[in-house]
Amino acid sequence: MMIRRMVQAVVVGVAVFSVFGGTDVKLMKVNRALTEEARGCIDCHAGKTPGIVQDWRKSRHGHVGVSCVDCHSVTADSPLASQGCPGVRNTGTWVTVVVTSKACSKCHPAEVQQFSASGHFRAASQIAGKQSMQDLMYKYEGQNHPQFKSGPKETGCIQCHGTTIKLGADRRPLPGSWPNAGIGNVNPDGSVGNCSACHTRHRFDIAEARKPAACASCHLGPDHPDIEIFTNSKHGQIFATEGDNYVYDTTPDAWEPGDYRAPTCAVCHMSGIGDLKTTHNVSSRLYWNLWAKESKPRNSPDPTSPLTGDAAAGRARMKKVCSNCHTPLHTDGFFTQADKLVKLYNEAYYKPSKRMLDVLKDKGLLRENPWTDPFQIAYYHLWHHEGRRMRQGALMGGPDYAQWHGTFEVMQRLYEMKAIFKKRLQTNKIEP
Amino acid sequence: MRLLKKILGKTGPLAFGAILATGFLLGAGGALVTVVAVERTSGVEFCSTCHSMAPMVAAYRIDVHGGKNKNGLRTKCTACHLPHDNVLHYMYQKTVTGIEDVVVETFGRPDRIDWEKRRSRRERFTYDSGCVKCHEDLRVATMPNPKAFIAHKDYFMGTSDKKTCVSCHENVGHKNLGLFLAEAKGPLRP
Repeated sequence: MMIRRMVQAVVVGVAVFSVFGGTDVKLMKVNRALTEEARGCIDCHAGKTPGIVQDWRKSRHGHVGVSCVDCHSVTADSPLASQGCPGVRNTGTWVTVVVTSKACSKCHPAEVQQFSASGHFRAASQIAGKQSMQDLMYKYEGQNHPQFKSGPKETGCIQCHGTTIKLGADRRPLPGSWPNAGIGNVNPDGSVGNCSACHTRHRFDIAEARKPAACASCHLGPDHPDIEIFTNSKHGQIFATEGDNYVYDTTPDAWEPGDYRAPTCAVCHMSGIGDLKTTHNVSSRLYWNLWAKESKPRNSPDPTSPLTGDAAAGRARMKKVCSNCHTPLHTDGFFTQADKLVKLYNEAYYKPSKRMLDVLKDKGLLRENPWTDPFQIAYYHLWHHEGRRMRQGALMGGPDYAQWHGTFEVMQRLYEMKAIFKKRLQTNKIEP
Repeated sequence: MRLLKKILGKTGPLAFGAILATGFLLGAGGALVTVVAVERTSGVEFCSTCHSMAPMVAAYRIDVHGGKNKNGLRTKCTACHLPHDNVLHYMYQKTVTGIEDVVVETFGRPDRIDWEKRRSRRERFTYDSGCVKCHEDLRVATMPNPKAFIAHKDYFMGTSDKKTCVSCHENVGHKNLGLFLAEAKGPLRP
């Protein structure tokens, strides 16, 4: 009796599962506001790559009837035009996997225009244009290996910075440049930018981009620990405590305190808080360049300049952000403190170390391979890792990064460099 | 009035009438010639007489605007390539463009022009006033279709400056123009 009941239960269970369980993906049909062509993509990909179709059906694009072909199709004369997908082969439809900022700009022109005036625009050309970076990637990290030297670049650099997308004979992107999630891709259609760096495919969710994780995917680690600095800050403390309850999908320009108790990255750097306008130009609220060897006020309208932005206007805008929660006494005091540390870095650390570097260079007392030279390694760490932590920690309210991971380390590094400098000058030799 | 009397006194009413009639005929004739000339130099039949226009014409022939639609309607080249905001601007631009075309075709080297590169400046030789002359209901017509409306919203609201119709509709009027330009230059890409 008992055994029969158990068998019955299993049979019923299997029957129920086979009807309702695990099959919803392949049965998905969307017949609303879509062309036959678009339905073809969805029907096929719901079976072939269900994950991305599941993403899309929960996206705002899905709601308004923006479907696969609206972003993926290109004209037959586009440099990206491919019929690699069997579903479109020998049809009048040409598609590409490389959805560029130009494709997004068809419906979001203002956002792409703002992005194109920001420092993010320069992300890929920044590393492509510097010989020292090319050497680091191929010659040193890649060990000039005949087959594998581009490994570090492909798995590292371009995944955040982006690169020039190269196409094969079938006009599909090659593994040397694809896949990559880099923000500053130089695309074959002449456009620059990759919106899915922050709004990951295929949800393109505004809520996602407003959470710190969107920025933290790249802004982390020893050279710019921005997410760590945020976590260290009071803003981060409140986010860690209450961030789950924030409202992240309020309409742009109306996302205000109340939706959140403390800002995320996007609130200060991009959002339309108070009487500020929403912007995708992340450089527009900045005073300093805090990542260069020496920090200088921003003063260039050119997005390819490291000093892109307008220092005075940028600071004024950022103070407007602060004013939504803080009095001028608080805000002005905060920037007085933070600017002081940036200026200390410039004067007491960067300039003396640069002077020593120049003297050693003049006297031929630097090794040709900088990565075997304790002086040059120390110099690099001073500005590229520790000096950035010091400056960015100060400007984003992360005391442990301003101090122990920043100023303290920079101080150690300077003394280390001074000792090497003194020895090399005394002996007129590079130590073995 | 005094002037009229003075003229009449000198010539007599008959001769004056003859002068008026001649003037009228000359004016009407001139206007007719201008209208016919403008009309005859507006379409693909005239524009295709210059060899350098061959790829543009071929791409136009297979485009919706070039007759590949169910009614066979064709737009004239000048519908898009001349301004339609007012008749003076139209005539001025037609004269300037016409002179430039004749000079370059006759004395220049049109075969050396990089047309593909020129397409990046397409906003400068097409006119939105031409587009909206036919697509005058675009704003209203796309309202109920969120996909079409969203795509045109920034344009109608003027929130993205520097955008014209062809900024996004880069192939409009000349389907797959890039392929024809590439073919004219040499063998097609793989």
